[in-house]
Amino acid sequence: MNPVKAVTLRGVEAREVDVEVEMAGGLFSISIVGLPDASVRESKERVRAALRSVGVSLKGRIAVNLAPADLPKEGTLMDLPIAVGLALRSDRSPLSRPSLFMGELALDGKIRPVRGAVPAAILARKSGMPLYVPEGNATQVGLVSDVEAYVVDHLSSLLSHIKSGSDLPRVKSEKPGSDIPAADPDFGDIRGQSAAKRALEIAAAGHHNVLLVGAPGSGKTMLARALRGILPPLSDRELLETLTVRSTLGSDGPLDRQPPFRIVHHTASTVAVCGGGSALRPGEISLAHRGVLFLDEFTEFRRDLVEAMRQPLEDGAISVSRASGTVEYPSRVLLVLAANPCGCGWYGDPVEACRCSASELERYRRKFSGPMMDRVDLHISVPRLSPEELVGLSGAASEKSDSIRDRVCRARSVQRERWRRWGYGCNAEVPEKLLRKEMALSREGKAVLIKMANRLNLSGRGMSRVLKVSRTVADLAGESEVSKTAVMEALSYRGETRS
Amino acid sequence: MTRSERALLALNFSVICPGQWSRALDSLGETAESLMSDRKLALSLGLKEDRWERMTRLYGSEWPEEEMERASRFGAKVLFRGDPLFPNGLDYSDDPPVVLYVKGSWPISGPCVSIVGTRRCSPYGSQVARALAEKLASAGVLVISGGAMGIDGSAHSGALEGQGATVAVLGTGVDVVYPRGHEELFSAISERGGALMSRFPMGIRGDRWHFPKRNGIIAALADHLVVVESPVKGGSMITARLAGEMGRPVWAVPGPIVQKVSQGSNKLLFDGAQPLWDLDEFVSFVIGRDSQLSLFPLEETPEPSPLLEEIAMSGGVTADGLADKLGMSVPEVLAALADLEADEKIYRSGPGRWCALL
Repeated sequence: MNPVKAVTLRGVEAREVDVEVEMAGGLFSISIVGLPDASVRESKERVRAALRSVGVSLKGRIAVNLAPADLPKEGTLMDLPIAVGLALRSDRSPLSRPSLFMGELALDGKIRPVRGAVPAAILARKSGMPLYVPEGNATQVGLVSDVEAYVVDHLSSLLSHIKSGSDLPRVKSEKPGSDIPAADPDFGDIRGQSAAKRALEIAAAGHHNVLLVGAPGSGKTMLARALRGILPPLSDRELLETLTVRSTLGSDGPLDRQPPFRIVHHTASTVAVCGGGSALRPGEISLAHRGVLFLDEFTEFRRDLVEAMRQPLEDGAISVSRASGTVEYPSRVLLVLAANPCGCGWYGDPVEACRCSASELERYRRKFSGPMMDRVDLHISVPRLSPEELVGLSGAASEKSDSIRDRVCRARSVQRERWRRWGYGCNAEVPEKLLRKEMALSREGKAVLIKMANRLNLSGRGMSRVLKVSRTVADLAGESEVSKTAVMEALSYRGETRS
Repeated sequence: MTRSERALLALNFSVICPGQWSRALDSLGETAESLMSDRKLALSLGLKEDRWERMTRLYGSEWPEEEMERASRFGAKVLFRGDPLFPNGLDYSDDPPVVLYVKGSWPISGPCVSIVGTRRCSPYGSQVARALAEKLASAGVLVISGGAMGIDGSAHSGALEGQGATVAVLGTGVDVVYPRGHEELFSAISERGGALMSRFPMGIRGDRWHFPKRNGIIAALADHLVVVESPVKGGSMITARLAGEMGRPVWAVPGPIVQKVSQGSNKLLFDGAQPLWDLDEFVSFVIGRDSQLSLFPLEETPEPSPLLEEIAMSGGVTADGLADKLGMSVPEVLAALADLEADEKIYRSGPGRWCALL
C-alpha cells in the first residue's frame, strides 16, 4: 500500500485519497486516472516542471491512480501529493509512515496555498496522520487543535525532510483572541431609532430572525449592518464551522471571531445563494453560517429563490444532490429581511405622499406572507426621521455597540445554560412545546398574553413568536421569570398592521 | 312578472338615464309600458330611434324572464320603482333608478349614514373610516358606502366589526365582484345582516360613467353623508354635491392641509360642510341622543395616560420621540404602545409612527 495520501473535498468534508504510482519503460507519458477533474489533469505539467527543478527527472510511461477511483477529485491541491509520490517512486525511497499532503505547485517547485485546509486538518486530526500544508494555509490549520502539521514552502525542503529527516517547521496551534474588530457602523453613531436598535438587540440575544420595514433612506441597511457588531463572538466550535465553509472556497479572510455577514441581492442565482453548481460550491446561505444573512429589498426576491431557501433555513443545513452523491453544507443563519412599506416606498410617510393605488398596495401586502415570513419572529418598523426630529433628539449619546454586545452575550449564556440539557443554544431554536414548558412565564404574563391574544386575534404561530421573544426580553433584563412587561414588549414587535 | 315590470327592466337595460325617462312619463301620466308600444311618444320625449327599437325588442323577447332568473339564481331580489320596498329617498336624485338589485337583507330600519372617500386613502383616513363605521354600526346605525378599496372598504369592515349592518352600493352588476380583492368582504356584508345593492343589470362590469350614478344612490339613501378623505377632484366630491342638492347634511373629516388626499374634504368644510371633529359626538347626534352639537366645552373625561396624551397632541410620533419626551425607556414605551394599540386607542400611521384615535 502506498502511504502517500492526498485529500479531496466532498461538501465541507475532506476525504482521504491514495496516490498510487506505476512506472514502466517506453516513451515518456503521464496519465492520471481516478476521476480527476480538469485542474487535477493539468497538474502533470506543473508536477513535471517542479520535479525537474529539484533534480528529479521523470522517464518512461507513468500512471498515477487516485483511489478510491469512484470518488471525484478536484482542485490543484493534488499537485503536491502526486509530486511526492512520483519522487519517492523514481528513486525507490520509502515513506516512513502514511502522511497527508496538500498544495499547489509552481513550476519552480514553490508551494502555493489551496482551498480546503481546514477540512484537511480535521481529517488529519481524526486519522492521526501528519499533514503537510503550504505556508499560506498554516494559520487556518493552526486553528484546529491536536494536529501534527508541518509547513512546507518548497518541494525540495519537503523531499529532503522525507529522505534525510531534516527539520520542517511545525504549524503552531493558535486561536484568535476574544477581541473582534470595532463595529462598523457602531450603534452609538446611529442617531435616533432606539426602538429599532432595541429590537435588534433582542434579535441578537435570542437569535431571532427579523424583518425591517421602512421608507427608503430610513436607515434599514445601516441598522442591519450594525447588527453584526452586537452579535456574540463565535465560539471555538462555531469559528471552526465558519472557517470550514470559507476554506472550501479558498477565501482566507481575517481570522477573528466576528460572525459572518453576507448580503444577498435579489438578482442572485439560486446556486449562488444555496450552493451547488457543477463544481459544487457552498452558497451565500452557508457562507453566512453562524452569522447574518441579509436580504435587502426582500419583496423583490423571486419566488423560486425564496422557495429554495426555505429548507436550508429550516434545517440549518443544505443538501445538494448530484449523480455522484449528496453533499451537505451548514446553513444556520440569523435572517434579516428589509423591505419598503409599499411599492413606491412612501406609504405612511409624514412628508412624502404615497403614489400607490389601493390594488397595488394590496398586491404588495400579499408579499409579506409565505415561507420566509413564517420564520420571522420580530417585525421592526423603521421611521424615516425628519431633520427636525433628528435635531430634536436629546443630546445623550446612544449606547455603543460593545456595551450592547456585553448584554447580548450575558443573555445568550443564560439561554445556553437553560437549554443545555436539550442541546439548544438559544431561544429561537427551541421547539414550541419545550419552550412553553420551561420558559417560566409569570402569572401576570400569562394573563396578559391570553387577554391580548383574544383581543388581537393572534394565531398559534403568532403566539409562539411572542413567547419566544418575551423569553429573550426577560433574559436581557436578567429576569428568571417572564414578566408582564416583557410579554407586552414582545407584542409590540408583532407588526401585523391593520389598514 | 307584470308587463310594467318587464317594461322597467327593458328601460333600465337600454337607456343610460332611465330615471329621467320615467320622470317624463310620470309627468305625462304615462307608464314605461306605454312607451313600448308608442313609438311617437318615445320620439317626442327625445329617445333615439335605435334605442327605442332595442328596448322594445327586449321587452318583447324572453330576456326579462331570463334576467329575473339570473337574479334569483344569484340570490338577489329585484325591486321595481313603485314597489313598497323600493327605497323612497331615491326620488330626490336627478336620475332615480327604476330597478334595484339587492342581495342580502332589505329594507333595513334605522338611521343611515353614508361614508365616502378616496380609494387611495392614507392610514389616517382608513382608520377614521373604520372607527367611525364601527361606532355607528354598534349604535344601530346603518352604514352605507360604495364597494371600492380604500375608505369604502374600511367603512364596511368597520361596520362588520361593530356587529352592525352595512350596505355596499356597487357600480357593477350586483353579482360582479369588483375590485377582485373584496370577494370575502362582499359575502360577509350580505351574510351578516347587510346588503349589496346595484341599479345595473346582472353581470354588468364597471364603467366610468357607472360610478357617479352609484354615488347618487349613496347620497340619496343617507340621512347624513360623511366625506372622510378626498382629493379636490374625485367621486366623493360628486357624492357630496349630490347629497347637498338633495338636502342631506354633508359632513367632512378635517385632514392635514399639506396632504392631497385631504384637500377636497377640507375644501368642503370651507364651502360649508359640517366639520366632523369628534366621532362619539357625531354618533350621538345621528341617533338623536344629542339634539344639538354642543357649543360648550367638553365634559371632563377620565384622565388619559400621559403617553396617550402625548400621542394625541403630536400625532405621527415615533417610540423614540415619546421615550425622549416622557423620560421613559424605549422598552417601556413599546410595551405601553402594544397595550394602547390592542385597545384601539392608537394606530400605526406609518412605519414606526403612531397616531391616536379619539
